[in-house]
Amino acid sequence: MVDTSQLTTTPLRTRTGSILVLDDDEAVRDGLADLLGAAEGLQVVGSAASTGEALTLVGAAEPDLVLLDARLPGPTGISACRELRSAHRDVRCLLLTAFDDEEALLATALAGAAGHLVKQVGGTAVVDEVRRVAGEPDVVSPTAVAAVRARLGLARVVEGRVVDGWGAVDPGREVLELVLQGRTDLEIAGRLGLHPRAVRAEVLGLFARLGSRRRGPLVPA
Amino acid sequence: MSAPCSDDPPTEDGPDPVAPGQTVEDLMVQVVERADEIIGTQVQLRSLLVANRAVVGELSVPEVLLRAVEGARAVTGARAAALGVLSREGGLESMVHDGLAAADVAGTRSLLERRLPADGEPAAGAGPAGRTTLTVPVRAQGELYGHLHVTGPREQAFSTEDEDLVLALAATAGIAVENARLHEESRRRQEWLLASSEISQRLLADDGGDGLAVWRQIVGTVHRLSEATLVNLVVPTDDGELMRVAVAAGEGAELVEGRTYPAGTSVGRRAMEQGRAAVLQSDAEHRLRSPGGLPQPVGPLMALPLQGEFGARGAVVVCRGVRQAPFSAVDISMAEDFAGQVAIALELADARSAQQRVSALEDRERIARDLHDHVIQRLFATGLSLDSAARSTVDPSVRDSLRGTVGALDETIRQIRTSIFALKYSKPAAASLRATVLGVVEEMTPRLGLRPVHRFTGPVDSVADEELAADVAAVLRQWLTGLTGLAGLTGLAGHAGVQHVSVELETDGQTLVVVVADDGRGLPAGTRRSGEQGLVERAARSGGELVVHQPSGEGRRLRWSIPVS
Repeated sequence: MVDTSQLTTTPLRTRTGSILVLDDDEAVRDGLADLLGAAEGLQVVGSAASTGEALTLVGAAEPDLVLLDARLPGPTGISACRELRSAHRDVRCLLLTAFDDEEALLATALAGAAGHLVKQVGGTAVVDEVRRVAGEPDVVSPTAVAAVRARLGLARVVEGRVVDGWGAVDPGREVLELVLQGRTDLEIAGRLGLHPRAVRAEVLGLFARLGSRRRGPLVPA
Repeated sequence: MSAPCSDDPPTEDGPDPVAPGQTVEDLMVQVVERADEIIGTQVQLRSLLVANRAVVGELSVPEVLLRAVEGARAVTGARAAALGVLSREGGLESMVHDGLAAADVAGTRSLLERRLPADGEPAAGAGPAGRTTLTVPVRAQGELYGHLHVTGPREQAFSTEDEDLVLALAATAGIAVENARLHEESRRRQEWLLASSEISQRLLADDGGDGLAVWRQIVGTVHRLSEATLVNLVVPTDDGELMRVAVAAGEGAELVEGRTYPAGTSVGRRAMEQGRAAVLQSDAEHRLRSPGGLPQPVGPLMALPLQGEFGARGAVVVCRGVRQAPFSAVDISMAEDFAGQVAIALELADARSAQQRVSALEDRERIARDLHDHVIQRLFATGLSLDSAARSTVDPSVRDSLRGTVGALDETIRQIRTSIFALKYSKPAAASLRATVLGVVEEMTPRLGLRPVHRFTGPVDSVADEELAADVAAVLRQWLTGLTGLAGLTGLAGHAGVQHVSVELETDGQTLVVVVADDGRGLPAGTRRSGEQGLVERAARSGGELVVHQPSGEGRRLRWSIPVS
């Protein structure tokens, strides 16, 4: 299905439900390819075991969606996702997560991903969610961004510094704001005069800070 | 007269009479006598200088006093000298003497007790045994401090020169006493500072310090430095109606510890309310105080608040004996400063341990998440493979069976997800604490390669319910497993150097203390101690406090104290 809203975000071509799978675990990679390939309206155009491989394949196959594991080795799925989007701004990423919690939403928002998918095999949950996200107009999940903003909206000022809803003092506020707007590392780097890698490092730092404080008390602003 | 000072030349060294004539001889005798006198006076002056130097060279009050009496005896050639220090309440605080016969001591004491001379004028007169005596006042810091008293060796009265000399020496002694007091004060101030910095360091040490032990150190320090008979650290009960003696040091400490008394207008409560020291110096004031947890009548009393961010957390009550001196302004300010320092350190330690508890919680959860993340990944991968297989198979019964297994795997993943935030340790079957601990010891013996020694003190079974027994068992098991982790599979001895492990449980009915100690080399530097954090967190849930202590080069010691009353 193609609707008009898609044209505003991916104007160059019509989406075909093409998917790239990125997972370091071969069994998962093959299993997902098999599962999704069997689903009507979806096609797996490639599978990659590393971020570098995925970057090449995304350039070549131009998939609508990259399904990737949030717990990729090295600098995690967040980093991979941001790297992919810096190279291909409009590619949608779907993060596979073990848990369905605030941390998953935070990871999704900070990765600039279109959504997260909880690891589950049976039923049609995976296929349904992949279909849904592949057809969504938004490149970055509005749900995840809203959840993080709601949390940050409870920010308060403590001793002259902003403390967010997780209780974290937030020095990376500027980067965070641009991330939540869906900007890529390249864009943020250009705007703030930083190296894209520095932006990525800052985002991972934000994830660690905000993630580890997620149990902090909520204090209304 | 001659000075007994051996350093000085005897008077015979004076000019010898050589004149042949009677009148000349008379004259010469006079000259010689005069010369003797002059020389004698010079000798006296010289010995006064020596005595003065000796007196002012001393920095402790008792030494100053001793040098003063020795000096007084030397410069006057007296048979004996004594210095009586007056006490604030009248009477004599102390007396030092030199050359006094044992029989004369009591008489001299009573003489010096009488504040003679009334207004500081020297008094010459007959001493206890009819000897000629001279008594002069000693002043220090503008107050009459005591009297310097000399008993002559001769029949005739002391001369005015003798008087002047003794007065001069008394003045020097007074200054030296002042000096010594100031020195003593600064020394004590240093001691207090040292003590508070030691306690601060201990509170802020890496292991966070053992709560009760630090409190003991606090009262012990105050007891030692404030010349008190008893020091109590009192804290208000939850409702604020009572004060409880948390720890005590000094006479009868074991009797008052743990006791409660109405907070009312107690001196401790007053100090907490006003945020500074509350002092009761006299008996009259004592009657205002509501009865405290004090076993016997006390003298001067002061309470020092342990100020925290949200008011005082308690107070240190310092009691002196009935006959002891009141607290001086210096005593109070030093103790107050000390309490202030300690209170700050307590605040910091609290803040830090709260932070540590939070990070321990997060750390534990993080580990659990990581572990389960991995497990879920494996289940997910297996599920996907089975799902693929199910799709490719044509046999419907095989397909159904594979799909069933996929469903079971998904269910397992779901269960892990729901239980991840509510990790529960399995509880052993209901058993007494003693039996539970013995069970764990038995269970761990083969794995450790040695049998831990166990010891129970107090009614350990009656203070622990099933849940606490389960907690103790879990902590013991985890700790002992940690030891086997150090040693590998071949037993402890020779690896971590552990020869002995002891498990001790002790209770006084109010607190259960679990101590596990070993004599190994401890953890290598840099070893991850996340297991410990888990233990600390578990201990905190039972309202207790768990501390792991590892002195360098010695074994590790786990100490867990749990309030059970």
